Amino acid sequence: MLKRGLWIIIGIVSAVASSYYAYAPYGLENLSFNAGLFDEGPVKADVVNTVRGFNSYYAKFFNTGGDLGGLGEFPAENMIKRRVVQEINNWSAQDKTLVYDKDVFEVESVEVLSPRSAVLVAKEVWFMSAQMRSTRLRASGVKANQIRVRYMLQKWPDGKWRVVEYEVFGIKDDIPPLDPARFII
Amino acid sequence: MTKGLRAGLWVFAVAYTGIGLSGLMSVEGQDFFRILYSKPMQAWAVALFAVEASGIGGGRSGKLLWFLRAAAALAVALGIILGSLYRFSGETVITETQTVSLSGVEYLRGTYYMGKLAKKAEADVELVSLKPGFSGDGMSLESLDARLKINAQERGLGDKGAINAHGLKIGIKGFGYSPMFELGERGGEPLEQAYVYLNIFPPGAEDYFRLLEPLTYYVRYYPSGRPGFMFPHFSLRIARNKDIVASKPDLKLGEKLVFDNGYMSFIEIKPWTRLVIVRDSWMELAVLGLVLSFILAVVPAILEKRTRRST
Repeated sequence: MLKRGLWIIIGIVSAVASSYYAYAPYGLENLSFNAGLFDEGPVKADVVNTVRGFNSYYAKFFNTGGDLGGLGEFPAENMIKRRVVQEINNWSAQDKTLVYDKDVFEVESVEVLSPRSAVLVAKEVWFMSAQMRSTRLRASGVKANQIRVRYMLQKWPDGKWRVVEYEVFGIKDDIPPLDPARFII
Repeated sequence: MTKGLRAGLWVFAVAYTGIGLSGLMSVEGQDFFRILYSKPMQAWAVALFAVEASGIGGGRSGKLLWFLRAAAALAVALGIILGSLYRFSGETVITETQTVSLSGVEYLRGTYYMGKLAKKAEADVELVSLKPGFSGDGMSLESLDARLKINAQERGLGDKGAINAHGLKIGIKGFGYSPMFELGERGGEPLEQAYVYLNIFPPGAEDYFRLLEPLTYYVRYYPSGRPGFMFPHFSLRIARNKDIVASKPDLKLGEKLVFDNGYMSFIEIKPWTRLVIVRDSWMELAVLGLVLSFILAVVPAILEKRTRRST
């Protein structure tokens, strides 16, 4: 006959085990995060590197007028890729290429919302100009695009971080609180 | 042995529910009904009934107590298992004067639940009017009153209550604004008009929407104005990927913001709320059974301890 104390321990262990399976495969990861034991350092570093990579590919796709080599490595959700390609195609239809030249990329903040989601805010300055696609002669003046960007990132099952959404603000705009309805973690 | 087993079962239920509600192992806390209707809790309910009905090792000390415990456990088991099979619930946005057909509407992600034997809700619901009550500074919602027409029958409803109609429990939750946008050609005719549901309450909150092009329309709404712009207005910012192509911090209703070869305007604005639809006649039985079972588990144990101490 088991003592009551042992039954209570069995109850607790069963509850934890059932919860582990109910919230698999990230249950323990979430538990360590909620308990304050999660090391955010590597996550923040990964997130910053991902956004740097995002910007690098972003500029490359525009600057080459639509060379989509590396689209699979572009760390972005499909709808973002689609909007980039859409715009490049719009410019191509006018026989033009929009050139993005990054001047400033300053990370203002990185917030880890969970082991698999994070938000990064950056100040960016891009010099933008249109060029004729065939001759590469300038087709517009140069615009200094000063913006602040809030990137929402998620870690996918393959272990890689991707930008799932980003919001663009003017350099003087305040950034409102993140709408949880927009970023379901 | 019964006492120990009963204690272990209740510790499991409380711990498992606590882990789920607190979100310790998930990103956010789970809804109570999702925890209650989960497979582990169904198994727990069956085990509880088995223990109470058999009176394992305890001797049926007090036939009445045994009967009550078994009956309460049966209510729990039936409520949880049948509730998981027959429950239908979901939330959908509805704008003032809009009519939605509950059988065909799109329910918000994360809110939809349909048990294996459940039927979809069937009713037409019109939001006749929606009256919010704001705090003094206009930044928070203190009350929300709606008039609904459910299958042409008009009923009143506040955000603290629910209506029972056609086997459904219908409530309202949340508040925001749906502006009607007009997209048109510069100097030409409107091309498209539609309401767009946005989370732009309280004033200063920002939301955005996209149409077919790679443009994003970022919107804020100040119904009472703000310092420097003391009139009702929108703040609108239009970006093509990372390029802000147009922006106006004080766009009035009906005013056009010109960009590229077109314009964007907001020509009307209506409030929205979320309809919370639930059909679940078994939840009350499950909860009643849980409360009774718990009382019948704890109170006799406390009384027995006190009796032992006094002797």
